[in-house]
Amino acid sequence: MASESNLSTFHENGVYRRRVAENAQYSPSDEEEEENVTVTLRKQTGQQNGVPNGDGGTPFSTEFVNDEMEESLFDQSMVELRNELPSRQLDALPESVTWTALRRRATVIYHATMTNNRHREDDLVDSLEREIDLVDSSPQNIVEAVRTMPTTLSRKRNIKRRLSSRRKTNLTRTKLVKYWFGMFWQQTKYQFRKWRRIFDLWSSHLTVIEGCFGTSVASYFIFLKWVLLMNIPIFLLTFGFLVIPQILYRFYQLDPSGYEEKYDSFTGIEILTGAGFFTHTEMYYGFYTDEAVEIVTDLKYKMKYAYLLTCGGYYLFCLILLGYSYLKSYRKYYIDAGGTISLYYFNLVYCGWDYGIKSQEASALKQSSIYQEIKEYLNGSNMDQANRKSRQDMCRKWAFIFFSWLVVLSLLAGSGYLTYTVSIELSIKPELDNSTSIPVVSSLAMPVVLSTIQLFVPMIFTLLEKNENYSQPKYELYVHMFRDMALKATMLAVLVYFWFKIAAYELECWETFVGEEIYRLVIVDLIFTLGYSFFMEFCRKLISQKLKSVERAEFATGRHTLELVYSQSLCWLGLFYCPLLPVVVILKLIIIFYIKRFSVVQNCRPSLKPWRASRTHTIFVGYLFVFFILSCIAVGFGIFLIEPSISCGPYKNYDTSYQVMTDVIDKWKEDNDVVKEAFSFITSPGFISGLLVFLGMILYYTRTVMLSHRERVEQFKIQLASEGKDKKFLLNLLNQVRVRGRRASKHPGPRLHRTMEAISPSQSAGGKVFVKSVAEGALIAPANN
Amino acid sequence: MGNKVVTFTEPQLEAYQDCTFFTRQDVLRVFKRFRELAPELIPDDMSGELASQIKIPLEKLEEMPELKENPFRRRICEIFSDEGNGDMSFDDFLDMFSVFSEASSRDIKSTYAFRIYDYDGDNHLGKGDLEKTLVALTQNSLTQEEVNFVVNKVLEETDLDDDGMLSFVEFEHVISRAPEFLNTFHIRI
Repeated sequence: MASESNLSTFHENGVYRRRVAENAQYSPSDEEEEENVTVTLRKQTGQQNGVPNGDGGTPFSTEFVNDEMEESLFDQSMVELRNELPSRQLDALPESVTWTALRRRATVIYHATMTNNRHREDDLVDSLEREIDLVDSSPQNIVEAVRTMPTTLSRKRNIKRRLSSRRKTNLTRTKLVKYWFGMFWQQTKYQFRKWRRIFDLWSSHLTVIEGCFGTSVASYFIFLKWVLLMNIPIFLLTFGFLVIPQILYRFYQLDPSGYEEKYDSFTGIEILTGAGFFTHTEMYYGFYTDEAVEIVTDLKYKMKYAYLLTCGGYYLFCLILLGYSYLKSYRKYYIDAGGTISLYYFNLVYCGWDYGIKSQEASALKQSSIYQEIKEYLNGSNMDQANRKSRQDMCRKWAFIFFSWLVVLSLLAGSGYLTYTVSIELSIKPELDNSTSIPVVSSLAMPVVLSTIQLFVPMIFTLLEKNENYSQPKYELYVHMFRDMALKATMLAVLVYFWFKIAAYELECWETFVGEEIYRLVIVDLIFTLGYSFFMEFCRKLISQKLKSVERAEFATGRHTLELVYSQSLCWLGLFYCPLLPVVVILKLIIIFYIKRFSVVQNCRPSLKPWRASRTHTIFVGYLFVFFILSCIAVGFGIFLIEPSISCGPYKNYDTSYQVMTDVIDKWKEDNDVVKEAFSFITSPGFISGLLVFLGMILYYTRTVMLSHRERVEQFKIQLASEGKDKKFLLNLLNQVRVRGRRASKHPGPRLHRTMEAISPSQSAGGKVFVKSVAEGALIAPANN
Repeated sequence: MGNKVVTFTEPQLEAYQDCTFFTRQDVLRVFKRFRELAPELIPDDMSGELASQIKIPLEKLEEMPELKENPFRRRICEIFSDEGNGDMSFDDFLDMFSVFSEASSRDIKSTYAFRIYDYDGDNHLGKGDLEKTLVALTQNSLTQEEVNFVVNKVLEETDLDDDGMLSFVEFEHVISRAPEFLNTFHIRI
């Protein structure tokens, strides 16, 4: 194929003609032979060519025409030769017969043949069957291998039937055991797959959204669904281990049982503020007892330990889930070969079309989006040379970036200070003074201020970024996301500081206060999200129907996903102080899903800009993980260092909440010497530093392995390219030899040598010898005929 | 109400479950969609060989909402049909949606993607194939020299052995580095 394309280009460019002219070394006595050859060839190919008679004057066109006819025969033989090359014989590749290798080979084999070539395929299936017997395989491996074969369903069924029937004939006892175990495992996997369908919530809604808008908008809704599903086990944990025992305690043990009448009764306003009626229910930390729940005699359920351990339990669960999901996402979507050229054009052509699109509007938009992207790339590559910025421009650009970061930092500081002031003035003071400020407004002031800041400050950020002139739009997006999340993190950090440093010392039951604050933050966030949906999407649609110049809104996927990250981090922050917060968050997510789903379909239009859903998904999970860690640190700070309130909660008389655990461990240490030894060893500095050094070594080792793999990949690439060139070179050589050698064969002797030397493209002595020997070999053959 | 008409026998459903990435309920749901395309052609009872014999013609398949807006719909139907002419039986239909489903592996998706984009069927993505793909994507709105430019750029990025075409091995190697592929090569049914 290499030489084929070479030859075709030769034909096109006329290079071949030039080379032929160069190498033309005819003597007039060749013409007769030439004519005979021409006649024979013409007879063979059935063409009627007006070939000028044997006349040394035009050897040019004569031999060109002849060679063209010969080339077609040559092409045919080259194709056959190429198909015999070892690199095409993929089923002869020596590989170790492991199952993954086998599956890959099955895929490669099945592709290497044409699917219409039924006969060849049967051979391959037989060879595959033989090899499956070699490997100690179980039914699920067979099923997996069959399922991933890229052939039609009917053939797969036949193959599976044949393979399964073959399996059953020659089973020894151990194999039988493995077979039954494999079947059992397969059944459980099917059951699991069936149950997973329960979590296939809202798939009809997702189909509609994906059909109209593509995967970018659908990715927001999928992320929402994932966060919701993550909250369900957390809810079950807290409900099962904390809320239910507390309810039982309330109603069966305490006297008087139930909720005390002296506290406020339920009015509607509590949904908004979370205080009032809810303060003295299971909603908040302050309500939980520090005694042991004893419904069944002699079975003590100590609330103190339960509270801390459940807390540890759900944070651990979230950590594992998030870590696993981030790694999976990173591996799936971010497979980076490291430092090599990026695949702009390939991605555009082969991953550009979104197969999920079903509406005509979205498909037209997608096509124009791809067209725009190509135009942009074309312009970009043309402009690269012309875009050498002057020194002055670069200075100006960097000065502006410096300035904008200063502005960002000052905005962050300002928002932090504002949050702090509002908290002091409006949240704490009324509680302490019982002054005449309106209760609802003052308690809601801080969340409203926070949400307003989060609504308007990012607009300033967007303005700054527009003027910063990033080279690629994705950098602009990343910087904006970073600044947005930094703003949220700053405000939350200020709040946490406020709660732990000030509220903890001023207020009587500060944990319940913290829980209430977080509840209010969650509710106000929900209100603002719904408000945004209403004003920015619905009203804009109404306006666009009246005024033609205003267009409908695009769905701001990035912004909304970051809001989800923020709300989930609020949930983690507040879990310790408000155990029923997951319920609120689950309801909030369900409401948001339905509102946004209907809003998007009715009010928004698909976006023209391309959105790299997979890369940004990894980034969102990354942000979620980072915020989770920050929340853990904040809550850990509260547990380990801050003094619990004296009058309420499970840790009434302790110095820190964690003290219960240290007391337990101390008691174990007193009782048991072995435990004491073990603990003192584990907590000794030597052990911990040794552990850290060991982890560092593992990290360094894996990094070195990765770097060496990367280098190997580069070397393989270079090798591959040069192998391709080898093939071209050799085929070229053979071609030249064959063409010239056949003609020069009529005149063996010194002329042959000269001809060979002249046409041989290789410069080395060995190359010339090779060419000569091949030519001579070709000469002997006709002589023998 | 008498005996219910069973669409598929138990062994059939089990075989479908084994050979595709679908569960039983998915198979029945896909069958419902299949039937909606041509209710007069498809009987209630699909036991025996009917599932692989009765074929829905290409024109009806192209009107399906999932495929209607896809510029490659004809190629997709041709690849997944048994005889290569685009008429699909239920087996082919199920196979198609199984490959496009979320659960199918990257390997099988890249194999079928390669076949779909290989217009001339020579097991290589040459310049002609690339050009046709590009034209289908942009509905012929690019000039010839822009098309040539993009085709050359794609080959520059991905052609490892420098032969002017993409073989399957090269394609698969590059696809595994393309993060968007699994996301976009996915049809929900």
